[in-house]
Amino acid sequence: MRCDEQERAEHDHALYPDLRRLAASLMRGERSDHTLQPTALVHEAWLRLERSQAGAGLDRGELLGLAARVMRQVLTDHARRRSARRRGGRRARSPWTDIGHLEAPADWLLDVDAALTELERTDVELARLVMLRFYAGLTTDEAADAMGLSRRTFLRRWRFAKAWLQSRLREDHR
Amino acid sequence: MSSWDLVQEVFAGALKLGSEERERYVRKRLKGREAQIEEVLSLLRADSDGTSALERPAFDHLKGTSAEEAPLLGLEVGPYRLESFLSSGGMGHVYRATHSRGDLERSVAFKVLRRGLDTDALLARFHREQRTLAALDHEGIVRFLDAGALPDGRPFLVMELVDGEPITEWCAARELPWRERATLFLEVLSAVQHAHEKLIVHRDLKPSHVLVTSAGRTKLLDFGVATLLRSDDGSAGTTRIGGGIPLTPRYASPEQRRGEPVTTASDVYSLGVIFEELIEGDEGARVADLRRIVAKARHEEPTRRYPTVQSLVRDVRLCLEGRPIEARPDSLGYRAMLFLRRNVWQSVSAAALLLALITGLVGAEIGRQRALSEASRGWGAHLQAKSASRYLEDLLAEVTAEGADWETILIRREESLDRQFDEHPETEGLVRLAFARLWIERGRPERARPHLGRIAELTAPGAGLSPAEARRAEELIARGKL
Repeated sequence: MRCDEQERAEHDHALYPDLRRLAASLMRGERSDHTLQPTALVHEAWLRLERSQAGAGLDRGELLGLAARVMRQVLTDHARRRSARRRGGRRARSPWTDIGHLEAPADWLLDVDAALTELERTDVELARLVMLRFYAGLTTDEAADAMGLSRRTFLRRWRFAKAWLQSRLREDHR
Repeated sequence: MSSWDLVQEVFAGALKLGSEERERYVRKRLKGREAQIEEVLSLLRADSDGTSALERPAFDHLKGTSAEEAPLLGLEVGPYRLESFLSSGGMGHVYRATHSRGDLERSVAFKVLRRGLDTDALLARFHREQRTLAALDHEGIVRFLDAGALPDGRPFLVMELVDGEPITEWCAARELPWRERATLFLEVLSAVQHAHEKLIVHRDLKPSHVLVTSAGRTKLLDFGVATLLRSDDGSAGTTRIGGGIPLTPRYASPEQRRGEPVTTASDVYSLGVIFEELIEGDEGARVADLRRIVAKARHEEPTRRYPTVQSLVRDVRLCLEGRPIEARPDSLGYRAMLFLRRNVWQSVSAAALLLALITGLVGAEIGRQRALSEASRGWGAHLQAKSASRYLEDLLAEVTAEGADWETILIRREESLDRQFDEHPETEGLVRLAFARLWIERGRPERARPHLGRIAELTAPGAGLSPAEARRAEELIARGKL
């Protein structure tokens, strides 16, 4: 159904800026509760979307998928700002440089993002699973539910995805 | 099958085997496809090297970290060299390190307190974990090896390196039947019991702290928030949680979530949640006893849980042997009491309703007991009383549900009473007796009357109610008519 797909793409488009703003404000800690979790963001995003006109055509799984994609974007942007690599693209240096090299979590996250982009080219579904679990921080059950997979299938695919990403991350270090 | 699907399938197949057999399996399955053999073997290596960093949500990696606080890869401290980053917890980062002594090298886990967290209170907690671990000696608990301080003064802790998977995922990946899951769980219980014997409460038991190694053995990790039970008066006491300790709500006991004193019963609760997740993973585990064990272990009231891990062990064993377990479901009276306690401030009418119901049920219970002892009435009557009490229990559950309107429920149920007990006048009599009481106690005798009328019919000679039940019905009829 081309028509449907087009409509859906438009929905995505319409919601995206809103979600971005919401996520970014949560990341900056503008909210009073300091217990922020990405899951909270995703659930909140979902609630807002559900109530809004824009979210009308999407089911819960799709909404969560969208929110997870936003979360990935926001967290990666965040990591990029913190990355020590942006200064000349070299590995971070720190007070410990005389005894070893470092990799900051921010740099590691940028590597994960790059590996995931590569995975997306081969297997969109698997990349979506990673986003729900790793970026949106959903539990196994929630993410399996959002993807319409059994818990067992989800765990099997997740384990494969982790190993795949890990093997790509390792190559990076060589 | 596409090459991508094939790689995934062979990867999954290899994971079901022991680590020594994997390579042979992969080469056999993918004979002649060198590129894919390499791919799968590389994935398997990545899998066994550990992918736990990806287990933690991206957000957690960024939270509170900055370039200055970055992991310390390559750092050498005494005989240790930090090789790779494993994970970050609430208090510190954990690295895989190599410990060299002479020609011998082995991998260890190296935990460093987070920079900026070296306040007195947290330092004290870090040292407490060290002492706690040092006090424990059990093959199911991660071993303490060494401790010291980095050049910048931050303390570190060296422990046995456990490369494993959370117990729930380990079982799920292998699709283990519940018996094997329960057997593995017994190993975990033995480790927790050991800690309890040393008066140490773990306080943060959850699947990610209960790993299964590639050798299939369980290991308990992270005693970071464990506490020593104080025993000033010679007996094991309780201890209060310090503020701000991160707990995992799903596995934390109700008293922990409320910040109340924590005892070994809190660990029993968390174990109950883990056990529930384990047995739910096997659809064949439809054993009522398993459910009862879970219910007892994770009871809201600490005093109604298994008093010790030992007693939980006993029931799991009995269940595995197919023998009757000791845990009993909560009695109806207890459940009703809980309900009353929860609702006493909001609903006096519900309380009255329940009291009435229970009085009715006590009658049914007595009926059941008597039926058991009266050989002449035999099993038939026993079953009648039992099914009446089951029917009322079911009704109780319905009316005590949140937001339930008991009157509507009763009226709806009344409509089917005639048909429901067609062949069982005794059951019908007992149930109607309870209904009649309810209406009378609720000040609606007119709604009790049809029931009493029907009971009168049922008490007619040969209809099946016992003399005592008939007497009680008559009393009610008299009151109903007033």
